[in-house]
Amino acid sequence: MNINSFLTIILLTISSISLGQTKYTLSGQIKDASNGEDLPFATVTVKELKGVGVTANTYGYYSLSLPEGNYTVIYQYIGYDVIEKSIELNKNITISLELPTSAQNLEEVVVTAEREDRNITSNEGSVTKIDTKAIRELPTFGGEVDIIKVMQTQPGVKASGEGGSGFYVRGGGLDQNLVLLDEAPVYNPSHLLGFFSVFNGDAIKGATMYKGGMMPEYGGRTSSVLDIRMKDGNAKDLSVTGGIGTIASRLTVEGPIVKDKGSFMISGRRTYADLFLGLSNDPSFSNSSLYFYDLNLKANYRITEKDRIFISGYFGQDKLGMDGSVNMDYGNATGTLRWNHVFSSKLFSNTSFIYSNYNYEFGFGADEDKIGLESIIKDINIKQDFSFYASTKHTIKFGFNAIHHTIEPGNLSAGSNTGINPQDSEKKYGIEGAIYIQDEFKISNRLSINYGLRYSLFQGIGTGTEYQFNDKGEVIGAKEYGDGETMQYYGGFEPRLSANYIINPKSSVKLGYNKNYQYLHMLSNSTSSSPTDTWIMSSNNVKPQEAEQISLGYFRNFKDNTFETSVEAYYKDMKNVIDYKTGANVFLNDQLEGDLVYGKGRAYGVEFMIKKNKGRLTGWLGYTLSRSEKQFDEINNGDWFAARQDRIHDINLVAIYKINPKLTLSGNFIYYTGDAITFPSGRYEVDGKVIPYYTERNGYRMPDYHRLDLALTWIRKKTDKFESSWNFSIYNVYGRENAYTISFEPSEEDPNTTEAVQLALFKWVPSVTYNFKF
Amino acid sequence: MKSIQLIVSAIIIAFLVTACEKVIDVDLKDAAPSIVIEAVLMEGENDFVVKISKTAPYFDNSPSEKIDHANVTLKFNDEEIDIPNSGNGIYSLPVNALINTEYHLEVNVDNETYNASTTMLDKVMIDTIYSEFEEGFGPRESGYYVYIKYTDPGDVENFYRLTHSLNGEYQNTESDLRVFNDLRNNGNQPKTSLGFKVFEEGDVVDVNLIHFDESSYDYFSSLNDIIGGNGGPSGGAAAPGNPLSNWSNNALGYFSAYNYDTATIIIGE
Repeated sequence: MNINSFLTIILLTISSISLGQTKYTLSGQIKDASNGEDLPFATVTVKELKGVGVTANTYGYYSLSLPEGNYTVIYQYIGYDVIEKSIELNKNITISLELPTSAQNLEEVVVTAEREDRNITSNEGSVTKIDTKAIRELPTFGGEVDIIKVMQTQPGVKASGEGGSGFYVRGGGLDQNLVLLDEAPVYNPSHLLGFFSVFNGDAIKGATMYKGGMMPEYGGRTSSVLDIRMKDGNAKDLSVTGGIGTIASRLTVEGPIVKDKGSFMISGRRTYADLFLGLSNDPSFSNSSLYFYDLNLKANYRITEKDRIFISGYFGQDKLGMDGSVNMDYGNATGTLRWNHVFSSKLFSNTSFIYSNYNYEFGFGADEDKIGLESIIKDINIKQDFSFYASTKHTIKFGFNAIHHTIEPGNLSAGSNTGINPQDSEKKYGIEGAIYIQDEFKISNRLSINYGLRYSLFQGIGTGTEYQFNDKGEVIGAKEYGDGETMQYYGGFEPRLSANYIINPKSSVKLGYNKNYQYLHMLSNSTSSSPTDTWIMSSNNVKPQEAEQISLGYFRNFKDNTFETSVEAYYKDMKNVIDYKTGANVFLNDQLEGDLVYGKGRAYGVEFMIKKNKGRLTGWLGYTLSRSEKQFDEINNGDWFAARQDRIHDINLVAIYKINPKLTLSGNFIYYTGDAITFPSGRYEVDGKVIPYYTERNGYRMPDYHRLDLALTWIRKKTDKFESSWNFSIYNVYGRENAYTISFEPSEEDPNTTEAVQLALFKWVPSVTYNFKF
Repeated sequence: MKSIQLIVSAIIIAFLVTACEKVIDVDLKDAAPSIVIEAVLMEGENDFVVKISKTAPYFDNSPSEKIDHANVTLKFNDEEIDIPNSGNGIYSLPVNALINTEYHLEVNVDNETYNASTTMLDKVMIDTIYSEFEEGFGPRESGYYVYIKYTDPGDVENFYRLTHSLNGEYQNTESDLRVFNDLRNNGNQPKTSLGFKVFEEGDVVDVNLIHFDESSYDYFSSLNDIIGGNGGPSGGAAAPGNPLSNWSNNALGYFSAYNYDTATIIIGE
């Protein structure tokens, strides 16, 4: 689309807004009556005006401008009682209210939030929202409720591998997902190589994933956004929740700072396998450490009626190793300071200062024999978002953000006995910025569109060295840049669109389009999240990754919104996708860019979803038929080849059955086509060894993956003062040996013969967790 | 880097997981046979040996097809020497290889010509060899570890390979392949070990420090990535492919000139 005409449309619509009759604004805050938590995305509609309504923002704030008159306003959110309020609107008024949890839902499990017919009415195709409350009773791995693992069961979202926390969205790569925790990017959201995510279920309120049609306020990654929000903390009473599990224990304390004005939440989690190791007589066990912990902190306070401050932080570390021999520590730290300000009942503002840091440290040996390696990635970010509730037809959002990135790829330290020169790889600096504007436009009762534009830019800045490479990847030139000098500039417009046409109250058609640029890239040689994955910035050699996606979906609900169904098709075109040359050296290599190749990608597919929201049996069945392919001039003679995540068939079935108010049985079945993989097509002997001979990239398939997990949740006690429950889970119930790796190697018995050896990680993994709340 | 992966995976597997390994049947395509040429020139008066063969289907466990009808020519300092075939794909002739000399090897098979060149470098001496008893952790066993120290020439980039024999027997498993450069220790006196290999008291260990050129290093370094593990999510190579060969015309294998120094240690003495 022509950028100028696009801007003109936006300006015209905004200017047309002020015309018309006298209007007044109804605004306020919507909260949960039981704990005072904000209810983001709660809906506000007007009985007398069909099709008029608004969805609260992520802070529970809503604003609705209506002509003068008497109205009945309906506030609703699934799982809560509907509240109707009669109002006389002859001036701007503020109504903040709390929705009580509805009693009738005790026997049910709520899968989605918001209003019942959201599947049809919301102008959001390709979006999945998950509330942590709704997933408590699903099977777990190791007893830890994990929102990422549940996200992976959605159509179009695929787990990175057995037990992994990484995910592929609509054929995109692992690094193309923006994972945000209270707006702070989390660069490595995994513990213990991905078997657990860093998101402690007790501290998380919920998550929203945008697979396509992303709103212009988000950017920086080409595939998806996973926006995870921490709980604000109980604003009514002091409460303590916790759990003791097979792997880890958790404890959360939350309560009001001043009742109904502010609250805090502190949540911790730690594994304790190492505490048993300490009891061992074998020094190689008792001196070792093997644990991770998470600490989530959040506080919010309403300073005035119009100002609210939030502060949140996350700290997590993995510590693996043994004293003086080998150690590997890694972790994330994030911090967010937010200020909500209501300029007028129509203009809501949020300003965020965001910090994120990921580091890993690897050490080998002790004292003067020690070799250590440290790597850091650090972001400092300022983000400003405005919501302007212009009229019942238009909600305009606009804002900007600026991120300062620092990457320290590797700082090598070495003791004097090692003979190694301590050396730091060159640090990289960059600034990523964006401005955006979008308009949610209700054209009619049936048609609504959300269109907008984002301009993003990236500037590589000195101190730094820019290398030029020849075709072989050899350095043919280098240019030094001084402190603060611009090394490279990239920028581009990212148009976004999502449209919803409601055919009738039971069905709708949704269209989505988005273009995204990505300026930071992760280089990984594995599908499991490895703590040592390397992030690089765009440079003279590494062009920004680019993706355009178009999606079209049909949504239909049945039996009074009991069943939601949808079919969505998408096509995604990717440019400047990165891969390695054979023999690439990723480790501490300042000239790594010479070992990379750049190509194209394409992904397309159809996602089917059936979801049952009400009754004793709830759950969903998703099926995705999709392809994801890549093309590089230097690989496979320039032919297209399957990306590793090219899983053609992908089935997920999640079911939750309430046997009685105290007992819930749940199950989770997963099936997908094996990953595309490179296997040898021949062998030869060199240096007295049998060597595999490769002829094509990703020309083979891993065996198909499937697995069933079951869980039983037993509510032991439930009173106003004390709640306790047990959760029993079995991961991989029927003991399927899913291939984690297949290696081709000489046979152990006869080294002259070769064989394929499959490694399967988990046969059955049972876990028991005891949870309590008081 | 591989050791990081190895350690972490081993920790996970040891403590958390009921991992199980089994041999499976995989249906692999049979690639068209490709030529493989392996040639090593040792410093001084030695038999120069060239091996020529073809690739075979991966699970074909019969010996690979040998090529005995090739013309092999070694060229250096305006000299040309034909290397005669001695059967079973082997071509050999005594050659006195000189340092600071560039050697070219030309192989003609079925009207295709393959060329490679390598340079014989100076010897780098092993200054000391010693062993230490160390406690193990994870995949790292307890036992005696052997270390050598050598003085790296500071004026140029250097590339090395370490080989060893145990009680007179040449050790040549995948984990015995050790190649490294001086990127992090140029001009120093580094120490290096034989990987995670442990020895017992009384073992006689002969260590060779091979000094060779960059193309040889590239070959063995990429070979090490490839044989270190493949086919799975935590496979060794960033992108599984064939090692970086110095042969033209897509031949597999390498042509390398080794200059080396040997040191011997008896463990526990």
